[in-house]
Amino acid sequence: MSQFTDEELMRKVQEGYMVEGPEDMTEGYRKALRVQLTVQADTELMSAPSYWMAARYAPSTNTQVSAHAIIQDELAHANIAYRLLEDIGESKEHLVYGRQPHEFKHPYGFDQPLDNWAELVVATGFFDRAGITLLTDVHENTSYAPLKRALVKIGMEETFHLRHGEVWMRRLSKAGGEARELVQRAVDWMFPMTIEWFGLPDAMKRHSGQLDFKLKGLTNDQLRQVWMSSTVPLCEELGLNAPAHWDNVKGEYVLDYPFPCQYDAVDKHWAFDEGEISWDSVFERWKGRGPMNEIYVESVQRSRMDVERWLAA
Amino acid sequence: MNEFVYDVFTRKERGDRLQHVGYVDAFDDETAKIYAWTTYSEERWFEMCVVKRTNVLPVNRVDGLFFEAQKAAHV
Amino acid sequence: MSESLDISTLEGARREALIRLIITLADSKRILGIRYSDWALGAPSIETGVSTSSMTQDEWGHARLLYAMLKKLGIDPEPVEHDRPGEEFASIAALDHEQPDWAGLVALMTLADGAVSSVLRSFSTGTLELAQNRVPKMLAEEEFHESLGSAWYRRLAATDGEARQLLTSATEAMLPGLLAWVGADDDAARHMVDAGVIGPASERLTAFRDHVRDFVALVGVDIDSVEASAEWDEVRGRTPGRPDEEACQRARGDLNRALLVE
Repeated sequence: MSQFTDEELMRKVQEGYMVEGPEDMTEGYRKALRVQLTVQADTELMSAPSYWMAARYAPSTNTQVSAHAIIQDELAHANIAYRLLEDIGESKEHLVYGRQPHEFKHPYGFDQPLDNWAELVVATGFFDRAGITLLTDVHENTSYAPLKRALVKIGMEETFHLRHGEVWMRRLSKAGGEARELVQRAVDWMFPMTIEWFGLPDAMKRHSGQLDFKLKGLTNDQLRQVWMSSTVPLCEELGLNAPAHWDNVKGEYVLDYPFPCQYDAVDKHWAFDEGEISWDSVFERWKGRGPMNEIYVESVQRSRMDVERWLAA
Repeated sequence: MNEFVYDVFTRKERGDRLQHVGYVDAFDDETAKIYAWTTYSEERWFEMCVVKRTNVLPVNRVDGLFFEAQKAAHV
Repeated sequence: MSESLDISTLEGARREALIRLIITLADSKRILGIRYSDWALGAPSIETGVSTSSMTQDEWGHARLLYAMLKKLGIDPEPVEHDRPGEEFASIAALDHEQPDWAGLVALMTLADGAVSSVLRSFSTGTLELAQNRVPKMLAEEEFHESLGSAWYRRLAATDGEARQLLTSATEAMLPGLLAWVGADDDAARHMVDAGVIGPASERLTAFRDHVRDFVALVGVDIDSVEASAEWDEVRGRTPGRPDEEACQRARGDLNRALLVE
């Protein structure tokens, strides 16, 4: 355990001190890092089944291959993050195979079904863009050296995923007709889904220690802006409607709908017309998990217990 | 599942340093090589090798992951 | 290596036999990839899942290369890949249904993948230049499938109980069909042997048996006393049966046909 107090470590990391392992950490640092890494690992892991189920029905061998290349990366990234957790005293075995579906900490977006190739494409364009927005910030700012090193690989591959998403969004939009309609429908529910993913607005944000310990650099609202600054122009270029625009006076992107608002997971519909809701009701919806939560977790945990039992025999 | 940690080292190009890029859990050397090759596939490595973590001997440190691995190996 | 065969001069039964050979190899790779992909998430560890996903992509990449060979015979691979009914799929019988458990997938990795590689090895050293050029790279990529399969096969075979039982029954269920397919010796197969495109049935069988002998012995199976299936479909060059409809739909990309814009 660290020879520093929380306050000393906070000051040191702000001055550039890099933490190399548990021996350098305070308990406060370890807890903040554990929360951050768990969300990261769970997000990578649960993206895999959501992409995987849609990949089964992708239109061709090539599209199935590219989807699986992404799935392979996501699994590898999850594994790296769980291993980092193991190195700070958590159990990878428990985290991956021992938890109940509702105990995973991934965003609500990865509890939703992806119903066709267009949805998979927009998911890689939007969700992976959110992932890289968050992780680039961590990579540039984190005081935890093993994570900073691991993120070189992860950043490289996530960039490939969102390029894949963008290339295909462009291709399907250009094709017109049903292809284009399906992309627009995917944008309609995934845009607000990703906006919500970045979490509480700064004005309401509870203190987490992640900024103090330099585990990240940007706030939720800043990250949301970074994401919109590439996503909104992309949609405009492709002639897709995204519910946000650049506000010259404010000098930032603003949403064209009440935020946050209610979501109907069955119809994949955001109730813009019902107005703004409280963040407590958002948290409640998240806590209840989305329709695919159990199926996705089960698809990952499917054989582990059997094989463990077999090997013990 | 009775597996071991293997650290993964790679050299990107001829003339580059061999560097630590990550790790995998595997039950034997053969599978460790496969897992490493398919997990760290972000580059066309000139060279990749894996080392069972308990075989990495810390020289100057009396803490850190490699030191912990040594302790675990000798329990 | 024997001298090259001029593919453009192939006619009649020989041409048909080559088409059958390419399609049974390509379909087997395509469906094998689907069976692997089903276990990319549910594998017993994330690392194994990553490797399984990588194998999936290899198989599909090889399938595409094999289907593309049809172009040299004046056949457009597009409808072959996207429009054929399930009863025309010529993939090997071991792939007709999803493996219900991890032991079954391990048997598939070792035995079915091994059978396809045995025939491909023979194909790559035959007279067809296309195969000489394209297949060795596939076989090189396959090497790790074999290592992963054999590591898991040994690991499960060394247990005492359910895993070993499941592995044994999967092995016993697969082998007769695989032997019949590897050792195909009907008119079409003999045309290919006569043209030097693949080696004789006995040679292919010996290679395959040598390849799996030690593994299957671990679960008490003597490969030299396993009989090949007697039933045979000469049209497709496989034993009777077909992949389940779900797998065919996925292979064709039916559910997202409107989004097929490449």
